Amino acid sequence: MEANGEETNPGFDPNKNYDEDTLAQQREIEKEIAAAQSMVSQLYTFDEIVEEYSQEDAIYRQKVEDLKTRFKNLRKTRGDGNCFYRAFGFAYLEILLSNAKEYKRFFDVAQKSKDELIGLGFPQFTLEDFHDTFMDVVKMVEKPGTVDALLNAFNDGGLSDYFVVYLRLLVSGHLQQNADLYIYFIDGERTVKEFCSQEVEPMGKESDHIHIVSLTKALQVPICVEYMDREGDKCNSFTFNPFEGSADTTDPTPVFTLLYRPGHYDILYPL
Amino acid sequence: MATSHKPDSKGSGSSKPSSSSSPASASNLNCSSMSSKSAESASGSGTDKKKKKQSSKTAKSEGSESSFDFFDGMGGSDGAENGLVYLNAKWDPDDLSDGDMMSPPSPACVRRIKNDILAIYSDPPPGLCVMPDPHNITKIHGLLTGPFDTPYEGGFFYFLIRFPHDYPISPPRVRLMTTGNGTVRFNPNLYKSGKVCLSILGTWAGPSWSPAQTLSTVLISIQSLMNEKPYHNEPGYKHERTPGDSKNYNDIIMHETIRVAVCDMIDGAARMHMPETLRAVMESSFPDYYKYYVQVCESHLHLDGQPMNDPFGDSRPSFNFRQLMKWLKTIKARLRDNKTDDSDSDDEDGTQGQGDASSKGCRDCDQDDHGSSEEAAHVKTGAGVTAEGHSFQTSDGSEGPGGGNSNTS
Repeated sequence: MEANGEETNPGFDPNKNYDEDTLAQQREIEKEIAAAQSMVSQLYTFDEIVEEYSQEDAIYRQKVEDLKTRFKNLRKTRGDGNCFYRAFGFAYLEILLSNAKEYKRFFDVAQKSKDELIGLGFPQFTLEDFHDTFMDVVKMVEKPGTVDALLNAFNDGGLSDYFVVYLRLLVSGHLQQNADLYIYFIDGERTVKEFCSQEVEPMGKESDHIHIVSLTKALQVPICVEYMDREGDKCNSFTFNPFEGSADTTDPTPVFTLLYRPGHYDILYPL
Repeated sequence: MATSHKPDSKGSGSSKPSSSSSPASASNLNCSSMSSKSAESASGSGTDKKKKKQSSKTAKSEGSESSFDFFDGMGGSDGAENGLVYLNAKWDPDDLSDGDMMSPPSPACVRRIKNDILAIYSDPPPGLCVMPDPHNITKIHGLLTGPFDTPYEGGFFYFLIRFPHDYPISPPRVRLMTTGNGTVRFNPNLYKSGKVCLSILGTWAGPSWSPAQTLSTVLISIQSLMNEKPYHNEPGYKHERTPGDSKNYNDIIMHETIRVAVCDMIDGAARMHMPETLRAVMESSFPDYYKYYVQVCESHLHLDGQPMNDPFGDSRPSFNFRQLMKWLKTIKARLRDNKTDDSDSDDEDGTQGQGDASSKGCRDCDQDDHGSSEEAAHVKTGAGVTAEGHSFQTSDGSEGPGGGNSNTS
């Protein structure tokens, strides 16, 4: 063995794949970082987060200043690829706490969605499992609900992840039901169903424009997203209006606003 | 449906060698190849790693020719990046080094596992049997029978499956136990280490696990790896590198299926701590497949003595179909003897001996479309027992240390 020359390091095992070890280690570290963040955080002021959000460069600092002119607070979500769904879910239910009429409408939509998804071929028992938990969390709004109770639920791994799973299935269901429309927005040679199984249904898959359009349409909830990218000196806001192009005359005023920084969504609270 | 009559009466005279000599001859097959090609076998043992490296490399840089096939149906660089991250997901159900396996499962997780099992019992996919571990609900024993019209036909592939504590958010971990003691790679995606390379398990590039998938999805996906031309499963081998490679690979797989996934499985079930119920399934399916096994051997006798040239460079023994036929005959005689010991009469469908009752319930493993009401009834009973977290024992309680001995003596 020693004659081999190369193996001077006594700890080196030629049969071991160190690439894999490094990757595994890296994954562990990422996992730890993610786990240390709360899935949905307390409220922060912009002064509290300005350092973290603008450390990369001055453009972001300027944009935080811009946000301060319109928004008061922010809630951070865990950067685990599910942030859009968690941000959407929490922000929406928090609004529903003080809007009984909208809650009633949403409750019915959510209730009905189960059979639609089963109709699309999702295994009934898995779907029911996620739907039951999803509805348990939704019902927390009427208990009467509190922000703290919602915050606890969204930071409970079991409840929070199941909630995300169901939102993902809703997105997948909506895309599949309207496959003829969405097929043109899917890159690569794949069907809508393939896209869903690759980019929507698996946990941790990040959301793109198409996911947001789909979820707002599936639940008929208009939302606004502030884009904090590197262009311009102000954040670009974009409203996702699910009623656009339809005869529906429902008020398209966004119900809540999310903040997008490349690869991540947080929740914004207006002044 | 072959009955156990004719071949037996023919072979009863020559089935002298005791069953214990059969595994020995099998290991001889291995040993000879190992010693004669020790250098190759060393490089062979590194193949798994080489392959992993290759696949992650392919995912990183798109330069190589194989990357095209590799990316087929993967859609976009996004998938490749994620694929890379998940490619090396922990896969070994026996690896208890991390919290994913050590923490106790949540009630939601246990509920889902039970539902997954019930779903298989109530709508059993063909050629697929599962049995929860009597001591641990997060551990499942699975038996896949090689699909028809593939080189895996009639083989018994035993899998160990463990659910992590956050199942179904994370996928299960799966190990193929049918590897001839870690010596046989059955498929470009089924390593001799037992690792199953499948994107939904996080061990291969492509669509990853989704919580809406189930134990049944996993097993069916594994089954689909065992296809008519497994040669092409290897990235970059969409077209044959050398004409005839694919057929040659099929010949190898057919030989190894009979040697390792049939004979060694039936003789080595106890060694692998395979649950009695699954053993009974194999033993009751064996006579039905016997004719087919013999046919395969007879039609390949011309290959005997030739080395198996594995197109992927794995070290393999030489073909020896003649020896396999002897081994099959021995097993057949032994199973028949056991059966006669257990029951007085020996008519065609056989009075149910010990263990047979349960195997009847899992008959779908034969891929026969029985669909009898008797079967359905049994499935229900079995499911009921399982839902309470107990073992899926044979109705007469034959499971136990005694059962193992009677089959190896």
